[in-house]
Amino acid sequence: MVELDVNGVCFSHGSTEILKGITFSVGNGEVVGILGENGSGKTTLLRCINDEYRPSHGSVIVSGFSHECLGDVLDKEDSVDVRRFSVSDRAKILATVEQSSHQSFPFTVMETVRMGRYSRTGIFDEDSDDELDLICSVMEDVGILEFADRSVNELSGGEWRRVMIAQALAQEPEVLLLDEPTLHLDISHQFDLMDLCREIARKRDVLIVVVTHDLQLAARYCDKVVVMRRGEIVSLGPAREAITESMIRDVFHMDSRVSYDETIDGVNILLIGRSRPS
Amino acid sequence: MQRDVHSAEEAKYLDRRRRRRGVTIALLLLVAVIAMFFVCISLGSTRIPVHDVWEALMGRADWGTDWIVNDFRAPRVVGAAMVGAALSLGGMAMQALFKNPMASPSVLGISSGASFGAAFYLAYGTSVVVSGLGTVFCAFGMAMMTMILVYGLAYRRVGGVQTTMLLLAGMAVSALFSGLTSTVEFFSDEETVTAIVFWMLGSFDGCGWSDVWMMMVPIIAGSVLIMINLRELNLMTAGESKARALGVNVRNVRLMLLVGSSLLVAASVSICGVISFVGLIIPHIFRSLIGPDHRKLAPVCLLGGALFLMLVDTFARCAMPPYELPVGVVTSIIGAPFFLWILRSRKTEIWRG
Repeated sequence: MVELDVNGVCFSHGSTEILKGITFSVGNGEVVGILGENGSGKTTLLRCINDEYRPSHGSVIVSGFSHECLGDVLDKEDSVDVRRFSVSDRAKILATVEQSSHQSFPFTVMETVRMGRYSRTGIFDEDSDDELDLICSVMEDVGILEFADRSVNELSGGEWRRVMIAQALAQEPEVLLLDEPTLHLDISHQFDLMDLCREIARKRDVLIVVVTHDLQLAARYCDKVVVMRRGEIVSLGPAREAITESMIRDVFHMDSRVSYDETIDGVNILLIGRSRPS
Repeated sequence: MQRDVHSAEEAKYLDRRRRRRGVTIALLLLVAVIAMFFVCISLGSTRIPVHDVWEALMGRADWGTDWIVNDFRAPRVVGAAMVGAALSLGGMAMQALFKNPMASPSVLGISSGASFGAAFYLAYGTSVVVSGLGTVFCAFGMAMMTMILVYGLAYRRVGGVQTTMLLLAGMAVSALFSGLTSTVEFFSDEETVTAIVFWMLGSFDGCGWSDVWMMMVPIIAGSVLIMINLRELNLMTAGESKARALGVNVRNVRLMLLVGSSLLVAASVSICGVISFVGLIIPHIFRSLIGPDHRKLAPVCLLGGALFLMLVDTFARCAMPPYELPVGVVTSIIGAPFFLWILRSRKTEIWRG
């Protein structure tokens, strides 16, 4: 039962304070959306969670992760600060899909997905049958099996994105961090991807944290949302409660109608237009 | 070559086929290297039949043949093979590490440092060290000092060695040592200048067993440092932060790769002077043949580089008797058109920046 606790995380670039004491905690099987405008600190928060950035204050604690295949140091402990994981242990627990990434070498899609297996395999069992099966099933889940043998240089932006997601899934993480995963995807693939996320979260008990500025998608697919503005949390809770007309006006400066719609069994957001400052 | 995959079985089959292809090419190259070893020894101003080469290597030939084979040609061919292997493996590692198709083992300024060491010795150092090996010693020593200097400059308390900083420091240090070498040349007499220029053109002339044995150590050490990090090299091509997120200990791996390739270049330059282009073209050629997976690419580069330089050196030796062309010149003259031909004839993308 993996759980992620973010405790008063602060982060600054030089003299600019980007995160001002972010605190929330989320648990396994959930899809959590981090919402906010450009520059609100969403991506920075994600990088503090995956230990790419070191917060100046506060900590990020992961607890209840499975100890199988982890190194010896953390053997008995149940909650661990992300900073204390070894690089390879962290890769087994946390996987991140960055907003943009680039590969100039013509690796095949399958070779690229296999890279996700690095922390879990040695040089000799990397090509075993079990491994190949796992890689193929991940590619099938994400819908990229078709171009398994293609060079990644020849993929479109959306296809490459799905390859990166497959690579992250191949890590078999317990926490999956996605930075704008639906960017560059066409609408049907956006929905496919979010369906997949929800399925993974439920089936494999994975905690998924999605940074997005897409309100519709967040309302539709996230169990919980964390809404940020200028490095602070302004709203936090189940998507149905946190996404409100006043929140959208305050944070996104948009007038809207938020209503329950039974066709989709969820919140429907009708964006009316730019809100006038009152 | 590329086609759509319809089932997991097919994906696995294609993946295995790619891997088999790598193994096949490696085996073919191995056979070619062994065969060409004998052929290269047999060719030259005095033709020696391959059978006699074998006899001589086994120590069963007459005095004259034994002398030519064992004292002259064999160490030279072995030296060329070693340097070819070292330069192409080093180039492969640098291209992956810097994610740059133009990276070659010389980007860190090590060749320039070594050249300065050699030039300095040729100008002022006569009889300081054991004669004959003096240039090798000085070149290697300066190469190592350059390496430490460049890393020192690129090192930051926070974050360790910065990759961009490393490239820039390498370029600056390289310029510095080129300048120093020119200064040495400027103050030297004509004979010394000629010696320096010839050394810098690159040649295996006079490469003996002592050079080969001495440089075997850094070359093996450097190759091992790279060969134990082949999977990591694959991941490093995706960028350092990605590699770290996937579980690579980037700091250690980067250090091992840098020290490894530096050792390879330092040893190569010390044996035969500056041979450009091998570290650049050999990895490119084989990457276009078998793909960028370093687990397959490294053995193939090692053998391919050895084969290439062995052949080129033999060509340099035999092409215009009684003169011997500098091998560095020949690698460029043969290598460049060959490289361009490969680049243009391949349909698949070799590189996209």
